[in-house]
Amino acid sequence: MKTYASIIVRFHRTLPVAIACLLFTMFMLSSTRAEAKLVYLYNLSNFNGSIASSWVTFGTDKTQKELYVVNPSDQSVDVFNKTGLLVYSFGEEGEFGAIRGLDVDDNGTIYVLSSRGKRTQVVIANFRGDPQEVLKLENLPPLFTDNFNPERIFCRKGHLYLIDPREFKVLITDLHGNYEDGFEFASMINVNYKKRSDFDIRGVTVDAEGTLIFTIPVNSLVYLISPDKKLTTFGRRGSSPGKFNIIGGVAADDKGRLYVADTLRCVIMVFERDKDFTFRGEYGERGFDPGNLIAPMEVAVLGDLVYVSQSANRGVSVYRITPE
Amino acid sequence: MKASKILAAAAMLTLAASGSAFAFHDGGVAYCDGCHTMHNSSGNAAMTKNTAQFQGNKYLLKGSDDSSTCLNCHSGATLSGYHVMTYPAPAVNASAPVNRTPGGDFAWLTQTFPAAGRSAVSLGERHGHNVVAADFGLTPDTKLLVAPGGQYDTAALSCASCHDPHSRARVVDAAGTIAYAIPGQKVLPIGTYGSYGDLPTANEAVGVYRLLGGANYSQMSYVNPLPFNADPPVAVAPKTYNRSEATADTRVAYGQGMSEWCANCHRTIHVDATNAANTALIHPAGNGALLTAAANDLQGNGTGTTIAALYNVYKNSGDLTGTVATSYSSLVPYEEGTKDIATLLSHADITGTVTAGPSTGTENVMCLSCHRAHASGFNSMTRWSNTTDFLTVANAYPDFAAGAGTESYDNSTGMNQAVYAAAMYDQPATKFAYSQRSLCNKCHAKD
Repeated sequence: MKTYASIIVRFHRTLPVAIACLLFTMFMLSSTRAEAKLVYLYNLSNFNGSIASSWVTFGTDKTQKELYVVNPSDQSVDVFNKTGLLVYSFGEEGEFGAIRGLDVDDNGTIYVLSSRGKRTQVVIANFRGDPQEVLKLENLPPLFTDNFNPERIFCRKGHLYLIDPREFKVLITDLHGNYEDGFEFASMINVNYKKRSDFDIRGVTVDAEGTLIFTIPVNSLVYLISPDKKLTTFGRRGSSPGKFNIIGGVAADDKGRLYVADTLRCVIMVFERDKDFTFRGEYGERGFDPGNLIAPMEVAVLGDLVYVSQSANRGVSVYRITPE
Repeated sequence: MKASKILAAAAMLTLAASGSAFAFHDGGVAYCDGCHTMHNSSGNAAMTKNTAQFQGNKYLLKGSDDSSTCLNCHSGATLSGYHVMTYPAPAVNASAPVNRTPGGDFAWLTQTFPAAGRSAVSLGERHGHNVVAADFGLTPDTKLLVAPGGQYDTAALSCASCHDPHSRARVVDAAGTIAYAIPGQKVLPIGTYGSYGDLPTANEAVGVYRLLGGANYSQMSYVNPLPFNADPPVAVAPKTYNRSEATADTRVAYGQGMSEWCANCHRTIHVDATNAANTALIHPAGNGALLTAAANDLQGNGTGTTIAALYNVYKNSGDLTGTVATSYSSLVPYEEGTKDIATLLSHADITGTVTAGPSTGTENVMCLSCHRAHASGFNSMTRWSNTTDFLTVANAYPDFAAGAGTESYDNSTGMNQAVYAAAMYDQPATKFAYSQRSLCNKCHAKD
C-alpha cells in the first residue's frame, strides 16, 4: 500500500514534467514541420533571357497555373507558364487604356481593371486578351458611386474584389458586376479619413477565403480584414529578421503562410498565419546575384512558386517553397 | 477604477494602432536604422549581398545610393501624401505621373514627349532636377554637367543635395528664426515638422521647411562641396498638399528666403533686385524682388503701375477685370515677405477660400514663381509651357492626339490632352482664356 502510494505520489510529481516535455516535443515538431524555405529558381524570361521590368503587378490563373504580369511602363500584359517562360502578351496597343491590374476566374475569363482618362472600368477579356465587354457594375450604394477609383482587382471563388487603396474602400461583386458587399475601412484601422493620404497602402491582396490583406509601411503593420469584418494586425518595426523596415507587397498561400516583402531590407519574409503570425524565415537579401533582390515590391503565390517584382529593371524573381 | 484602466488601455491601443504617418522624420533626423545598417549584418548575416558581412554600402545606407534609399518610401504607383515619384513611371502618353505635390513628380524626368508643331522633342531630362537613383532608373543629366550658375556636379545630385535627412537646422520661435546645433551652442531640440505651421514651444523647436539643408550644409556623399551659405526658406504648406487642383488650388504660403536658398547651388543666377536701368538682363527673384516694382501701366506709359497690381487684375489672356480678393494662382505663387509662421499658416490652404493676391507690399517673386522644385511636365521644370504660344486651344488643353496640322497638336509639346491636364495639376482648362497665353502674363499682362 505504501509502495503504491509512493508510486502515485512520484507519478503526480513527475506528471507535469512529462506533460511539459511532451508539449515541448510537440511544439518543436510542429515548428519544424511548418518551416518553409524559398529556393530561388529563375527570373521570368522569354527566349532571349530574363525580362527586365520594375514593380510590375500580378494576376494569377490558378487553373492553368499561369502568371499574368502587368507592366505600367509599357501597358503590356505578359503571360508566363509554370516554368516562367513568356507564352503570350497583350495590351500594348492600348486597347484597354491604362491597365492597373487584372485577375482571372476559374474559367479563364480575364478581368482587366483599367482607366481611360478619369474613368476606371473593368473590361472582360477572353483567353486571348481580346476585350469583350465592359463590366457594368450594378446596384452600387452611394459609397461606390463617388470617390471610388479602384487600383487593384482580385477574383476569388466567383467574386470580384475591387480595391481603392487611396479611399480605403473595397467593393465586392459577383462575376456579372452585381453588388454583393462593400465597405470603407479607414475607420476600422483607426486612420483619420481626412489624413488617409498619409497612410500609403503598399501591398494588397485577397486570400482564397475573401480576407482582405494589406500593408501600411508607415505603421509597420500587416492588416487582415476577414469577410465578417474582423480586424487582425501583426508586425514590428525594425531591421532584424522578421521585422518591418519598409514593407511592400503581401501574398497568401493555401497552406496558411503569408509572404511579406520588405522593400528596403530587400527580403521576402514568411509568416505562419494560424500560429499567431510566427516568423518562419526570410529570403532574398539585397544584391545583384541570382536570387538576391533590389527593392522588392509585389508578391504572388501560385502553387508552390512565389513571384517577386523588383525595381531597377531587375524583373521578376521566382522562388520555390520547399518544406524544411 | 477597473473600467477606467480598460478605457485607458483601449485608448493606448487605438493610438498604437493608428500610429502617425508623419512619424518617420519628425522634423529632424529619424531613427538611424530606418535608412542605415550599422554593420551590414542582421541575424548574423549580411543585409547587403553586394558586399561581405561587416562591409556595407557607402555611408552605411540600405539602398544603393542616397536617393534610392529615400524613394523606397517616397515613390509608388499611386498618389500618397509623401510620394514624390510615380514608380513605375507610366508609359509616355498612356497615362500621367500621379503625384501633384507643389514640388512636382520626379516621374516627369522619364517622360520624353515627341516633337509637335514648332516644339522639339521634349526630353524627360529637361523636366526637372535629375536626381540620381539607381534603383529607380533616374540617371544623371547628360547635358548640364554642373548646376547652372554654380559648380555642383550634377552626377552627384540626389535628394540629399537639397534635403538634409539629418537636418540640424530648426525654427526656434514663431518669428521663423532659424538656429543650428553646432559645437559650443545649445539650442532647442526638434520636436516635430516645421512644414505645416506648427509653432515651436519653450521646450521644443520645429524642423525647417521640408528638411532643406541649412547654411553650411554639405553632403558627406559629395566630395569637395561648396557649403550652403543661406538658411532654408520659411514657408508653410497645407498638411494635405499632394492632391489634384481640379476644384481648388493647393496654396503653399511661401514666406521668405526661397530664392536665396536655391542660390546655394545656383549662385550666379540669383539677382534679387530689380534694375531700374534695365541693364541687368536677368529676371529678379528673391527677398528684394518686390512685386511693388514698377510695371507698364498698359495705357501708353512705360510705368505707372506695379507688378502686384497687374497680378491682381489679371484673370486670363485679355481679361484684366480681376480683384485682389481672388487673384491668387498656385501656378504663379509668390513669397509673402514674412517669416511669421502664424500669418503663413493662415494662408496655407486647399479649400479655395484663401484666394487673395499680393496686398501688403512685401511680396516678392521667387524661383518657384515659375519653376517647380522637383519636376514638371514642361521644359526647364516650369509650371506651365514656355515653348508654345498657347496653353489652351478653344477652351481645352492642347492634345498631341489631335494630329499634325491642328493648333491643338502644335501647342501640345507632345502631350496628349489628359497628360497635359495632369501637368497643369488638373486645373480646368475653362479657368483660362479661350486661347490662353503664357502665365508670365500673370505678372506682366502682355496678352
